[in-house]
This record gives sequence, structure tokens and C-alpha cells, in this order.
Amino acid sequence: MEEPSADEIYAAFEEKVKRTIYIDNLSHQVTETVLKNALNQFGNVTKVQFIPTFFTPCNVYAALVEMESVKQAEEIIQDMGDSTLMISGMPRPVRAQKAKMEMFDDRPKKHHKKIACYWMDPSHQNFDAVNKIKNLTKKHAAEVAYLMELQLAEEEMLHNQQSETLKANFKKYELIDGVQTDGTLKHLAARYGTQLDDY
Amino acid sequence: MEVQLCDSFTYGGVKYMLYDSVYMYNGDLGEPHVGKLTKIWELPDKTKKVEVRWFFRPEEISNWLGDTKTLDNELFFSTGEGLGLANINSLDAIICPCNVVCLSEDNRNPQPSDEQLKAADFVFYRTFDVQSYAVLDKLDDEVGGLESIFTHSNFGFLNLVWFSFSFNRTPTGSDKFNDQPFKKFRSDKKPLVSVNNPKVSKFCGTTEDQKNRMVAEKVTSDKRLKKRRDDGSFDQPFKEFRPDKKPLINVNNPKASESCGTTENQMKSIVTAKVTSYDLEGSKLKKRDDGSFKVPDNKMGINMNLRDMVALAKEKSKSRIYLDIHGNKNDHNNKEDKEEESGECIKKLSMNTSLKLYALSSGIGKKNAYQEFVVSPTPNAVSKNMPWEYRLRKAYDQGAAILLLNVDPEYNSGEVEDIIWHAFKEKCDAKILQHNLVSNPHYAQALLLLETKEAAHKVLTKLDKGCLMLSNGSQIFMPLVGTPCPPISTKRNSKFFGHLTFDKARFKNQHEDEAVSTSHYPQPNTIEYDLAMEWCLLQLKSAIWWEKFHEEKGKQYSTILR
Repeated sequence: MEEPSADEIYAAFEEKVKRTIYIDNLSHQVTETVLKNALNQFGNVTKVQFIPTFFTPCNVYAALVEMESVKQAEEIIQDMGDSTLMISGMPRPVRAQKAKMEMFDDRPKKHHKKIACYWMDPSHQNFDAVNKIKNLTKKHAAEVAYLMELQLAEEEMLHNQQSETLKANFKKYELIDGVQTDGTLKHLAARYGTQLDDY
Repeated sequence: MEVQLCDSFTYGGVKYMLYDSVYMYNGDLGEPHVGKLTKIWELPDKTKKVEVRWFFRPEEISNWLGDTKTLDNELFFSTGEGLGLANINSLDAIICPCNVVCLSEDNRNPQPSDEQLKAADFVFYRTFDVQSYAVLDKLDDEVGGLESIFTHSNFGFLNLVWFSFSFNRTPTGSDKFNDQPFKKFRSDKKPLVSVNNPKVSKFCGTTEDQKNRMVAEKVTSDKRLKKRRDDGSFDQPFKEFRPDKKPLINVNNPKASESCGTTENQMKSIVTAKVTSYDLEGSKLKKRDDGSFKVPDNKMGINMNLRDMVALAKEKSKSRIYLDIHGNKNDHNNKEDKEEESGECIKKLSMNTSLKLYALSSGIGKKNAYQEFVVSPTPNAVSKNMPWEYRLRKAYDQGAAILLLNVDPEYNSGEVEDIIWHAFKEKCDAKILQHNLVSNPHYAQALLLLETKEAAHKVLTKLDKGCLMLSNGSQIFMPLVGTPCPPISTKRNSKFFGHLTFDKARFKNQHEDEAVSTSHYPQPNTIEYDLAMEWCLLQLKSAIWWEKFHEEKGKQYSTILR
């Protein structure tokens, strides 16, 4: 069996990327079947792969869903952008985007690339600058972690706020409902001489 | 329909007997299940099925354990009837054999020796009844009809013939992955081979004499073994055993060849030769549990077994020993990962010849023998067939995991492994972390699982002190930065905000339950919709601030580069 050339593999991979949707803002309880069923309404799902995040506090729970055709993928992304799809819970909607190559962990090699690396001599003129870059990179990583935490804090705030709103609304409805069932409403209506619509 | 019951089967190059314990797949990233094969049968279309009776991990039955203490590597055998006792699976759900030792003091159970205990992956002496959800201490009369498990769960070391590393393992029963550096037992000058079977010692005489190495060699058509040791005693032992002088496995460990003689590196080239699984008479030694092997019919007994042996050695010595199992073995590679690996090996070969290295390349020159191949799955071997998360956790626990912060996003994991190999002479397991929307678009991060803590430390200090410049051919060089791996999250402590539920049972009806577990688009006139809009707003904001953030970072880099 002939092995496909590296180019072909790469091209196939690129095509796969185009067919794949990146979905995040998923709840941790979403499983592969749930996701599959959710998106099967809009097209044919060939594969679902969750993107693992290994470190706290990165809370981004995302998945790559591969669809049958590029068109299906694009349509779904558009639909999800226009309206809000909710999976396994509400009201936080999921977010869909086009998948990018870096999101896959099984990328084939670009074979024509040569990887060159060397150890820089400490007496090189740019050694200091290079060290600065290294420190900067580490700093960035820390900053990313911090930003992630901030984001989580925001999400938490919104969640709590919405929870309050929801509870308040719920109480209101309950109140009205209660009043209806136990007859107070009818009573009051009679008192005030207003008509109560029959439903 | 003719269905035949069998006693054993071979899968993935490994022979499994009835009542063997095995690891079973549990999704891609989950901790594997452990089960006992209680029935094997073959269908008319030649496919095989196994009935697997489960062992429960303590965390799986934590609700019913109460206050009882459990050992670190304790499992509970399932008893009773009903859901959760056992399942029927096809063979591809099996990962690899697992060594489960029965500690029960039941008199039907031969008590395990200390060595057996140390070698075990897991132990069990209690059962969990799936009907009554009770933890039972005593093994019933029949233990669910499996009296025969007693004779099998501890295959006697009497029947088993193998070499083992006889180094000091730390005493705790649960310490499966010994963290000791190899220097330790190297300097003890303990003979690496301790033969338990007199029969074998006879014909393995030479190997016993050998100091610390045993290598199974295989001369493939395309590769010749490199002589790894100065005293050249590598080649000796196996040629003695095999009359037709066809060594089977090429332990191609270029690391050893280039190593500057540090004991650490030397140790890594050691393979325990569990050669003795075939003795002179060529009689078959049955594979009982995971330690013993069944010698296949062909006279090249070593064929698959060396893989196992090596892998067992791996788990014992915790070194990553790479075997080139080309040629003879490719037909045993029926696990996809391994296919990928060998494919990758080929690619690596071609890549390696184009790698330019300066300064560190003492003798690397013709790097054409870097073959990496992980042996077939066996107990405890953190082979590439174990799910990545599992391996990561193990490495993290040992302190051997590194996070690389700025890998070129166009690399893939194999290339990263090569780079590390060439720069540091350390073999590693690399994985490029997948990007999500908050990842830095300019760079990728990669996780490196090195073999030992020392290796990780060495890599980190070197990266810190010096500057390893990498480029991808576009002439922009960036220094590689590595940090020790940050704490790994578990699913349990991640929070997710945004899903609200109603408390009142009243509002929950059948419909709503279903709705929550699936997906839907809310109608615009509902509260849901409004709340959802708020979340959309937050998501958009979030996307924007991450974008800005990464832009800033990019700018900072470019100012320095000027």
C-alpha cells in the first residue's frame, strides 16, 4: 500500500481543518454524544474531539467538531453566530468559530521545512537581548494566567447576577401563579369589577 | 451459530489467558478500567469477544466505602449480579495486561511474595457487590463462580522465568514508578539479572555474568546495530541462545552511543532480557498473569516476548527503552499509535539528516539511527498506548514534565521530540498543546514528558542558562523557553459559570429534563434569550480583550528584536 506523500497528507489535513468547527464555552458535562446530537440537527458530524486543557486556571472547555463538508461547517458557524445555541444547559450559549490548524494536535509535518537550531554563544552581541526575550516570554505566560483568572471572575460575576435576576423573576411568577391557583385573583377581580380573561 | 469458548488469545502481540487482568480503554483521556477476563469466545466469523469482570477503583465506589481505608493501589473485585458486574467487549477495548495480585487470606489463595507485591500494579482482597452496593471483606465461596481465579491471579513466580532488575524499590506498595535515579543501582553493582529459575540459569549462564546489560539484537535488513558498549559485550548473549543467530530486536539506542559515559545514560540503554521465556527445550511457558509469557510456536521465541519483556523491564526500571521493531514486528503493530510511531520514525529519519546542529553536535554527524519505538503495552509501562493524560500525570508526579512556552506553531509533536533529542540528548514524549481561542497566536506551547526528574532538570537549567535558538526556516530565531510543568487540573476543580437551573421541582417536568441535556435555540421572547444575550456580550468582550492582549505581547517582542 503506497503511503501518501507528505504533501498529500498535509493537503488532506488542511481540508479537514476547513471542515471543522471549533466550539467553546461548553459546559464540562457535555459529552461527545451530546455534542454530536446537537450538531447533527444541522449536518452530519463525522468526528468530535475535545481539546484537553491540562492546567488550571484555564477554564476553556472546547471541542473540535468535524463535519461532513466545508459548506455544512460554514453554515453552522454562521447560524451559531446569529443566534444562540445552548447545549446542556442555559443560558450560556456556545460559541463557534472556524477551526485553525494550531488547534489540532495531530498535525502532519510540513516536510519541506528544515528545522535549524543552535545554541547561542554567550559572547554573541545579541545574547542579552535574547535573554530578555526569554524573560519576556515567561512574563507573558504569567500574564496570560492572570488574565484568565480575571476572565473567570467576570464570568462568575455575570453568573451570580443572572442567578439573582432569575430568582427574582421566578418569585414573581410564582407569586402570580400562586395567586391564581388559590383563587385570590378571582376574588380580587370580583372586588374590583374587572374581567378576568379565561384561558 | 457456532460459538467456541477459548482459553486464551493473542492481541497486539500479547498473549492473554483466561482470568488475566487487563487494562481496558475508558475513552480517550480517562483513566483506564481494570478488569479480569472471565470468558473468551470466538464467533463463527473468527472475531473474538471477551467477558470482562470489573475491578472497581476506590474512587468509583467512594459513596459506599464509608470510612474504610483503602490502599493506594487497591481495587475491589465485583461480585453479585447485575449492572456493573461485567461487560462483554471486543478485543480492541483492551489496552494491555495488568498485574493484579490477590492479597486475600483465603486459604485457596497462595499468598503473594514480597516481590510479587512490589511488582504488582494493583492489589485486591475485597469485593464490591453490585447488587447490594456493599464492600465485602471476605471472598465468598465462589466469588461469583470464579474459584479458578485464585490459581490464576498469582501466577507462581515458580513457573515464571524471568530476569528482573534487582534494585531497591521503595517499600511502599503503591510506588509503582520508582523515582530513583538509575545511578543508584548502577553503583551498587548489583547484577541486573536475577534468575529465578534454575533451568534458565543454565543456559543463560553468560547473561548472568554480564555486568549490567542485556540487549536483544535484531539485525534488520536496513539497519545494523550500533555497538553501544566499549567492551562490546552487547552482542554476546543472545547469539548464544539462538541457534540460527537471528537476533530479533534491535535496541537501537543512539543515546547510549553518544553518551559521554554518564551512568544515567548508560542505564537507559539497558533492556532486561526476559529471554528466558524460552528454555532450551523449547517448551512453552504459559503466560499466567502479566509477568509470564507464552512462548509462541515458532522457535524464535523472543519474537513478541522480548517486547513484553522489555516493556516489563521498562516498568521496572522506568527507563524508556526504545525498540526498533521494524521488520519482524511490524505485523504485530495493530495499535494505531504504534503505526503512527513507526511512520513517524521514518519521517524522523529523513528529518534528522537535514537537521543542522552546531556546538552540541559532538559526534552526532550521521544521525541516521534515531529510531524510536515504544514496546507493546504491558503492565505499568507508560507506553504510548496509555492515554496521554495518564502519562502526563505520571510524569508530573515524578517532576519530569516541562512546559515549553514558545514553540513555533508550525512544528508538530514529533519535531519537538527530535529537537529535544538533538539539543539535549534526552528522549522525551512531546505534545503540542492545542490552541484555543485564548492561546497566543504567535506561538504554540508544548508539553515535554522526560524520562526522569534529572533529565527534566537538566533540560530546564540548560534552557535557562543558555539560549537555544530555534527557527523554522524563515530565519527568525527565537530562544526556546521552558518552565516546569504547572499543576495539572482535574476535571473536578474546574468551574463553569453560566448554567443556571431551577430549584423548584414543580417546574421540572419530563420535557425540561430532556431539554437540558440536549441543545436548543431559545425563543427571542424568553428570559433565557435575554440572559443568553448577556453572555454573548461577555463572550465578545472576552474575545476582544484577548486579541488586544496578544497584540500587545507581539509588540513587546518586536521592540526587543529591533
